Amino acid sequence: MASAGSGDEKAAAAAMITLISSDNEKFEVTEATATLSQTIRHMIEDGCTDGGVPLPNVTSKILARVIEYCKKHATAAAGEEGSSSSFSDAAFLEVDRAFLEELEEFDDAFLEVDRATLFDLILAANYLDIKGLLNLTCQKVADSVKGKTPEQIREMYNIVNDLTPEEEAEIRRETQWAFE
Amino acid sequence: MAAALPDRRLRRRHEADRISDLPDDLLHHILRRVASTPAAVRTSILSRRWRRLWADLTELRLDSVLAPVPGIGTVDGALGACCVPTVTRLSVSLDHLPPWGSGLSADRVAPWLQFASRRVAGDLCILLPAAATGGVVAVEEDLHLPVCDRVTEITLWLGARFRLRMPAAGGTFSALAYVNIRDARMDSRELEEFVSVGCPCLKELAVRLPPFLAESVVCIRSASLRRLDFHIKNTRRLEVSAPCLERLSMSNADKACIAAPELGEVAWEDDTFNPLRHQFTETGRHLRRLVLALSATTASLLQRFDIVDELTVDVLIPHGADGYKSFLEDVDMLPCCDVLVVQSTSTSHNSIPSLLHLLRRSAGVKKFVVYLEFMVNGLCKLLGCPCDSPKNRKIGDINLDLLDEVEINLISDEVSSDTQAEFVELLLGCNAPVLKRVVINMSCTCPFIREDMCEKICEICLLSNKFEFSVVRVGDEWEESCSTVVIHISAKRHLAVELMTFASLLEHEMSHVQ
Repeated sequence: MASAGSGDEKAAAAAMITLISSDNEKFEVTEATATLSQTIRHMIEDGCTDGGVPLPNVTSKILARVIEYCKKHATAAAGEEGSSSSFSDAAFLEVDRAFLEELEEFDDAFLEVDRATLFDLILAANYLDIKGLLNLTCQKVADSVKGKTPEQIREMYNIVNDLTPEEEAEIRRETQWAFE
Repeated sequence: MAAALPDRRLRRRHEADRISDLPDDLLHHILRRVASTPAAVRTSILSRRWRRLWADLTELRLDSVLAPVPGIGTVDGALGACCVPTVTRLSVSLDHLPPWGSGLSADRVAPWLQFASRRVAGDLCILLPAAATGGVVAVEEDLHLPVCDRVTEITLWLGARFRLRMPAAGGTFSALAYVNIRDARMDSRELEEFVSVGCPCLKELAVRLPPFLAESVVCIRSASLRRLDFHIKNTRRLEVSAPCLERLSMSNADKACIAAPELGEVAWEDDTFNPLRHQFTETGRHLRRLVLALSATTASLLQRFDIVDELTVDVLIPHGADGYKSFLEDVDMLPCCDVLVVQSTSTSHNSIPSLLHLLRRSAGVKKFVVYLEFMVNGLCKLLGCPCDSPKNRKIGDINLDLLDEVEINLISDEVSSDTQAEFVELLLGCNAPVLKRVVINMSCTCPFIREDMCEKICEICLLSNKFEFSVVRVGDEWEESCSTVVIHISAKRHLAVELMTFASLLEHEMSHVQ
């Protein structure tokens, strides 16, 4: 467990971590990228990352996407810190705005995936505890539900209605205020 | 969730129901992000899996602008069905309802406040539609606010239908930090007591209200208050005693006595300031920020605070030659400031001479920001108004020795584009030895007019040899279409023309009402 003092920061930033997917593929990432995951951050703090971090719940296909997200957002975090000193306020704001816009575009493009991948990403983000990615993916699902009727939602997500007509009528009666 | 993975391939053939396989906490996360309680509740008839999921949500969101839009019955239903002991947010927005016949009587709204008092630990927000007046004097009812000891923020916009009565002494809003009340009649004594006794950790208070019920004299005493926005009509006397107060915005007070040693920001929304009637007893001459409408009747505020880091002014120039002359005198009062923001100009006079005059009197300014809508008016020429004199367009005597940065925000249109370009050219011609950049934001829905302005400005730059011109943004932002041009000042004869296009439209979160 390295004492992450300010002097060691440069060394820490360059340190590489190996992540191992459920199908045994190895991914080398920087510590800055990996620590966007709170789960991995805690593993690093506990000093149990030697020989790689096995992630038995995440396939290589999904892990590759998650790493892509983390890389982009880790540079964003680093870029914000780095640029503040070297630009005047106004220039910094402009850089900042352009960067945020770029990040937003990245996120939008990142979410252009099929439903199955989206749910795999949600589960991976939850398991790895990556708040930004979890919010992003859950918001995508929430937005798709907004303004839809129950029938439309069922169809969209292949939800099988296992309620009997009586049960459904009872729920509708109980929550009539929400259907008005 | 691990168990769900192995048989995934098998189930995908039948297009598996992946969403229902998610664990409860993730489905709650998704339902919370739907940001509408009725929409979340409607998922209860999807299947057995979904039947009770919504019941664990701790936020009651009855403020959706997307279907299902809540009505009064929706609010009653949601509060009645809520079975969690602690609600972290109750947000009701009914301001889409029609003013007539909306049935919002005090006995409908009071139970919502009582619910908040018992269950809400966090944010309480209730926005009601304006009451219909229709020429008839509305009969106001009393609406009682009970003590809400776990609520941290209260926003009540009551649409001019109630007298808001505060709880009698005894209870405290011990967690309350932020209060924003609009359009309700209040009693000055009750407000006093609420602030000074009832809210020991209140940080921000904003009130925009019709006249007080009885006595229109009020005293705001608070050891915790950082920010006060006080706008209550016909206030005869406002006293403030707040040792931590940093920001004050006020209007409508005939007399005011403000004891606030830490005050750094003042927004004076009144059109008059009288140093005999409006007193700042413990505040020094220096403000970080001062906002006012510059006119003969507010100019003495500029004497009270004559060291200001950032000065924001609305320029009001009365009609006629006398009006213009009095403007010239008002400008002489401008204190020395680092940042000068001209927020709006309301004048029938020529804009260019007025702005040049402001600059002429702002020698020490480091940053100049201006929002401009040019008007074309021939009347001044006929009346021989001094604003029309050609010598007022001379820039030889404008010395902006410290000016570093300029931001110009233009509403562009075809008629005034020549005047706008002329203003930019004159500004660039001023003696400003350390000026580094000029940012020009043009907003206009017609892309051709914006393009034409860009070309005009580009031409000015090309002719000068001193300026680098670049278009940094063309596109739509929010609901406006705008272009941004940046002019860099450079000694080199180097011209870089960059063109980047951002066509992507930032989606405006309509659901975020406030």
